[in-house]
Amino acid sequence: MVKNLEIRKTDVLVIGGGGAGCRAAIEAASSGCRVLLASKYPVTKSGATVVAESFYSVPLGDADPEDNPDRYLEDILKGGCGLSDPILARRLASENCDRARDLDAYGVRFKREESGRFFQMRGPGHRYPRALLPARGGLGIIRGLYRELKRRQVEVIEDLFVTKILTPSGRAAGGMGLDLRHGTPLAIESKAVVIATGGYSRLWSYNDVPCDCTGDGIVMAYDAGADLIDMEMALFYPTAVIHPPILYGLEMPHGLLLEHVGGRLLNGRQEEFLPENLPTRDVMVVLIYRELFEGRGSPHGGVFLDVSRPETQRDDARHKLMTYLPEKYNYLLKYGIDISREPVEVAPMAHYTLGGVRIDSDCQTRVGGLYAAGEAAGNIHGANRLAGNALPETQVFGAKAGERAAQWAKEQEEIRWDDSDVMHEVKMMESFFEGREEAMNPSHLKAKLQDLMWSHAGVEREEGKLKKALAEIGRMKSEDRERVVIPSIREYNLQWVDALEVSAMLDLSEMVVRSALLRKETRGHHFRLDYPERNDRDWLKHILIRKEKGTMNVWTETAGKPDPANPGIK
Amino acid sequence: MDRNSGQTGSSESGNQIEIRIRRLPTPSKEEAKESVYFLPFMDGLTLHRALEYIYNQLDPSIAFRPYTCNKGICMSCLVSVDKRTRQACTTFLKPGDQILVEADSAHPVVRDLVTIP
Repeated sequence: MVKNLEIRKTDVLVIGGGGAGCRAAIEAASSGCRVLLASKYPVTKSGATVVAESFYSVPLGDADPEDNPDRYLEDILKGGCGLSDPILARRLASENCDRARDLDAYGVRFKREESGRFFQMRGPGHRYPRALLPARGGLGIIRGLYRELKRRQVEVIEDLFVTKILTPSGRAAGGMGLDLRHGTPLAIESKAVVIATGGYSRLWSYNDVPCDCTGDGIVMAYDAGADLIDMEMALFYPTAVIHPPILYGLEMPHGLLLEHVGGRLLNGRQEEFLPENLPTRDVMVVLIYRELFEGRGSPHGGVFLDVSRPETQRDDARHKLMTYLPEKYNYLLKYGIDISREPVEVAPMAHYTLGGVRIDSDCQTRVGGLYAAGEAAGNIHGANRLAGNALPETQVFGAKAGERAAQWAKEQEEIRWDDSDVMHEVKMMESFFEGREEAMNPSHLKAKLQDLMWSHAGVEREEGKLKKALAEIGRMKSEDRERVVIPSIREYNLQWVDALEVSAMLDLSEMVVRSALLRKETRGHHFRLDYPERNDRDWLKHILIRKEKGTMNVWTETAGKPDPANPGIK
Repeated sequence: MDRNSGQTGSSESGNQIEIRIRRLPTPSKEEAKESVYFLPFMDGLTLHRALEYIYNQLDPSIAFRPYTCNKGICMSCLVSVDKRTRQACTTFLKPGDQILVEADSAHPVVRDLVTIP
């Protein structure tokens, strides 16, 4: 036994308190398992679900009876540019409607027509109107899930930063981490583990995601022996505000603003440059960058998102803004910005990461008892995700991961972990207090890494810069990471959080850059200046990463293996 | 009382912002101290961004809830500003502001501005 180590016991440990984690916990608890959910910060006050914008795409067919899950699946696969895993995409398509109805049953409110049918709108890349509008956006969803989770008596530990999955004899047997409130280690014994820790968009200095999207759960899965897939694929949101500064980083939902409120995207010369049919986000990013390359940017280096109207038509714009995005519009007004009167400048920022932990259709990784769901999982959307597909992803795969983890847990005997693994992790956590010469502040190291990733491995990529980035990341890992020192405070020490996060982010950066170097083509959100064409002959491939004997192995694998349930789908 | 000065501007500068933060140690019951920070006014400065600036540039020992939805809806960043409960992400600062920031009194304090919701 490790001295002074607090230990909790459960059947299923869920790591992450966003949409996928909460849904996994609900599902596992409903099958009679004991479930413990660990969240880095308080639930409903952390994670990406809270900040998710309005769209929740579901092929319910309420707005157009021609729509159905098969057509939705075709759109997902087309949007994914050949890299969406057809088996996972099929799961998303076929179970999406039922999971949306679950949310409805949990009391999440979606906008409805007077007839009682769901109100659904069309988003870019979707051929039919599918997007539901949840009241209060993602916050409305997470609050509904949290109520249900409490009703199911899931034990929740907040402010617990899980740093390691314990895998004695190659199977997941719990996790351990840092109790941020007390600054002490805590271990959780379980029979199955679900990773629902979200994506890694914080790897780039320009992003529109909350502070906890640092991808440490993905590195945990990698350390435990899981495969990672297509880590180079990061979705850049085309229209995040860069000016005025008070709104910096705020995403402006272009689907709604351009297609439904009558807004326009204009270059610095006040010219429209998008095609008539609003393209998917990967294409939009490239079109915006073309304007910037060719010297037609707005004064602050972006383009104008213009919803403004002459005074006589302003009431119509306001009415539409209040209909489609009331929270956002009111929020902007609170900041003194009325977009019905004046345009804002927008540019692409890191928004969602497509790569992540490789799962099979049951959300299982290659480690027994270890599951992943939500943005932490990869290979669902491929090289581009359609708008409104992130929230349903959390529900479909969260529920599946919870169901399978519970089933696995029921079949297992209790597994004891190895005390030396626990000791090693405690020692790693404590090591940041040790004085070193030329101490490195972890938040400064993080900022340095984020700047490097943006300038050398951001929206536009090319071999020279990627190689420089790889060399610099190597130096940061071997030199800077070793110099990190934090103040000697235990309770809620943010430097400790930064030290643990940046350590994982350095590993993630190496994975992203090595994958980006390897993929010598342009596809979806992976935009290589030196290989500007999509190359289906050589690159209908996934890039896989696995830790073997402490070494990061990277290899490729042919994509689009047929779905055994429906071999017709390519 | 600790004193930390910003990287730019001097105490005479009219644009400078003065933020006093009540430091609450736990679990001991000793009386809380205050730290004073001076920072330059920046366009678009909210209290949450000011706390990030203090943490990144002036005093890494400060504790606050780093998460924000940045939309004024999630209530993660609730603090008391001059004895009134505010969301740090929608509290705008003006040049010359002098404010006292404390933990939100409605919830138990972990450290400094961090409470258990």
